[in-house]
Amino acid sequence: MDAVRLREVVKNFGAVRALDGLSLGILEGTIYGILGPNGAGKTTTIRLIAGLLDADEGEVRLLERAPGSTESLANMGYMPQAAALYDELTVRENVAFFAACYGRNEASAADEAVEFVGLQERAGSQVRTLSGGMKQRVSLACAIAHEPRILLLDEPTVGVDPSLRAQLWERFRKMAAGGTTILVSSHIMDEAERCDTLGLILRGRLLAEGSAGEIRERAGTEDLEGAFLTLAGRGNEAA
Amino acid sequence: MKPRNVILVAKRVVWQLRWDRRTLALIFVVPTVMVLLLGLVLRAGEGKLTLLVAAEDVLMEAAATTAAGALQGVGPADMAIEAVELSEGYARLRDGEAEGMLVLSVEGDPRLVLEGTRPPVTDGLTRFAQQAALMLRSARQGQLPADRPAPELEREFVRAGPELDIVDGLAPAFISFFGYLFVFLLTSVAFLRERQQGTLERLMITPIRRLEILAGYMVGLGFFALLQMFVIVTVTILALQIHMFGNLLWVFLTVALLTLGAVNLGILASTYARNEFQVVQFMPMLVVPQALLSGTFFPLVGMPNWIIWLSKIMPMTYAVEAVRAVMVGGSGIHETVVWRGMLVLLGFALLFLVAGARTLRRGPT
Repeated sequence: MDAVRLREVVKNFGAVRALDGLSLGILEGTIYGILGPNGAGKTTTIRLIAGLLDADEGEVRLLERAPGSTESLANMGYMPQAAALYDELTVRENVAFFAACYGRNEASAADEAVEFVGLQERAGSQVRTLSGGMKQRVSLACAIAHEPRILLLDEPTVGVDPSLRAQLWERFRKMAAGGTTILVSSHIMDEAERCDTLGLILRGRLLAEGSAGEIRERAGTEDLEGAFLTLAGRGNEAA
Repeated sequence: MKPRNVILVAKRVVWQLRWDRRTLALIFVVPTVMVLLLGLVLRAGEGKLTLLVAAEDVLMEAAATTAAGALQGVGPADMAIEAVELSEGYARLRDGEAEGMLVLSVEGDPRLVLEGTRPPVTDGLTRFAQQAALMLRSARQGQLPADRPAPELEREFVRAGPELDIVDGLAPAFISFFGYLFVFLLTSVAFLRERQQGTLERLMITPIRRLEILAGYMVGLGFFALLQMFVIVTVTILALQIHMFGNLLWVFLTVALLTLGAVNLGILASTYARNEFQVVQFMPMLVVPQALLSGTFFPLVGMPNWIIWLSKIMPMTYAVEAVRAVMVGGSGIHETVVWRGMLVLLGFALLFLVAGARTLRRGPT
């Protein structure tokens, strides 16, 4: 079953068409990577699914519900591109607050999420004293503390060092195995390789979809970066 | 609306500010300093005045000395009255050592020469000089000796009493205005930050409802607002030794309702501002007109009708009226001006809350 489904979605910002009839489906318990150059519509797609934007045309569904509905909000975790944290509160206080917003009041929910992102030693530190990468991890902990069924991650590993990135991906994989559906936008090809399905977006349209292997095959290239450039080039020519 | 969610947001607002020691100190120190300073300046402004008495020509110099002595006996206690030579009198007025000079002439009434830079002093001296001229005229016509003091009128006060001074009259306005001003600033900036750092957006995609977020903010920031109001009222009453004829509880309750409205107005204002520069500029737009048009510092009596109507849509008008009625007039909550004021303030607070919730939308950042 598709946990997230977009059908012919159009979104305009004034004269700019950010999404131009985008359709995609994300199977429950899988990791879907959304790839594309800057301005392709990745963040708009995630914000539409999160319920932060309304589609001008088409339909968006999360677990068969409309985005922004009480059920959708309760089942979803969202990590925005910017950290979006309370700088004056500590790491644990931030995570505990957002967990409590979902009705998860027990201390273990926050502690587990802080441990998940490897920040247990800084749990009592004020967020403003952390580095950019650490803030990203706190932001991720805030998005997962309530154990959402759908997790939306907008470039989650920007500023995170490679070894920690590898660890985080291991954990995403475990979450997916546990039934969590993860949608992740990324520029990093190494991350794209780890997704079950990739969607390549250009000018608000889905250019190609499939596993990393399928995408490489379709482009006729050895690596994913080359495939990405080839397919984007073809897309530009077609336009 | 779930109280649990409101308390959750309110607790976070309070908890967050606990680290910001400087803001916390400013919340309490700034209004205290402002109120004390204004009180002291206003009271110092009522200092001693000097009125000189001179003669137009030498023939009248003895009369000037007599008149000065006679007027000193009947003049206000804070006014010194001295006889001088005309040229010396002009020199002292120019040097700012005296505020006015009554110049006697052989024929007719005396004329008044004024230093002139302070209109309220000029007005006060003019009124006294008019009385003095009348007394001198009567004395010349032999009806009444000039040195006989004017009859002491028996005064009866319907409200308050003779012990009130200018600061007593303005204290209700101080309390309302500063309470409103600082709470508006605190709230609008705090909420703008929440928008800018993206936490508001994050909060809005949790199951917590918009009205719960706003009510949480209202309760959290309202907590600081009430503390601040407590400081302002206490400082005003104790340090400035304001006379308090009514029940302090009604003053607290009225100002509490006013500041709740200020919290919600601050949130509403932050919706229309993209940065701190803009939100701070809402202050002169939303707060200062209230001070000017609500009878806070300038009485509305005699103002054009449209100003009177404008003042009626301003929360501060009702707060100042009610607080003044309680503090100076000794009114209780059973009197219309007090309970109606409180009800109107509650209405404004709810109106701003609902308006704030309507503007709180998910959307592009």
